Amino acid sequence: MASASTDAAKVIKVTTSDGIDITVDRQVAERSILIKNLLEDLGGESTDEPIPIPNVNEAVMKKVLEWCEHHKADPPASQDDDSDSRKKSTDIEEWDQKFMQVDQEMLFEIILAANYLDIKALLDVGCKTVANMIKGKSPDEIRKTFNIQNDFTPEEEDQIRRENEWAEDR
Amino acid sequence: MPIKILRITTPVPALEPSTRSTPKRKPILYSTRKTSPPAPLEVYELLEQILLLLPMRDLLLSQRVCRRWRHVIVDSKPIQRALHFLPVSDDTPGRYENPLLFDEPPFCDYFGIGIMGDEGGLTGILMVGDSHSGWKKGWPKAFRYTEASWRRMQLTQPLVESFIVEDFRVAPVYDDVLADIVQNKKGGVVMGDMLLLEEVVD
Repeated sequence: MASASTDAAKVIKVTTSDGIDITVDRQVAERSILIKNLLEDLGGESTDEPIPIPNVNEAVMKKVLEWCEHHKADPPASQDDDSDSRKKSTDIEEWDQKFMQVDQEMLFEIILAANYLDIKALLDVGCKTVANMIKGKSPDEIRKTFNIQNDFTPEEEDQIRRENEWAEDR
Repeated sequence: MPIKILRITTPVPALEPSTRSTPKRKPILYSTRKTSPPAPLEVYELLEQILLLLPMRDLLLSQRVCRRWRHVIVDSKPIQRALHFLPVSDDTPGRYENPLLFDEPPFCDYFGIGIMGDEGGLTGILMVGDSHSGWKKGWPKAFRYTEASWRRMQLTQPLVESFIVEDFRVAPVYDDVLADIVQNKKGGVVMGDMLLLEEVVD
């Protein structure tokens, strides 16, 4: 067991919500702060035990790990970069753009998974992708895009429209 | 024989559709689930994070999507600050002006706006313009609604309580033509105060 510990430190296993074990480099998996903290709590002893990830299925987990693999050498994000809320660029680097070219269901699954697994940079990319889908659309187009019900009364909607009508014309 | 039973009862394909049936967004198989919006858009913090990435105008228009979106936009302090409805704290480094000042034809001609410093001195001029185009058309109707949201926006972040307006058509170089002044406005000078400008010009 003791001799295996060096190997165990390199590779770990996660079990997805649908019961599939995935083997992955520890460095890759540790892009997830959730997994990183779990591993640290385990103290590096029993890392050959699969880590259960009950909220993420195999298809989504593989996609997320694909992202982690590509970004495994990224420097850790600076913590205080959201202090300036005006810096809201939705530029996405090319690889990530391609990565996010998935159907809408998968896109939102990735966002949920990134949020759950605490992978901030991936969550950012997901949110930017959605923001870019919203930009330039009318409220009605936004509703259609995301299957959202208009639950305002006509009076309420009219009031909000009046408040912001000046912003409609571009 | 056992093989046949296996075929009938094995539930393996049941897991498959979630990955296999998604190439086209045809939600028929999942009609009960897919009539609702994507889950992240139903989580306050995630919707907030997404909306914060939108430019001001998209953000304002997004209030009309549904009650949830409206609620998040009105309720979230970071979003209200991004829209200049809520002042940022005084110790925020730097000062920046409402982007509308430069985006909107009604705002960008003719004027310099001076920000008064604490000691009454001028700390900076926000706008300079000398174009005569556009103004005669007047303000678009929707800008004039009393409830128009832009009126409530802070002129700068962090807020200023005083500003002066200069008419650069009269004195294109030297800036001593004080057209108007708003002083000591508790809670900050808001964009609506700019309506004063029009009377000055007329």
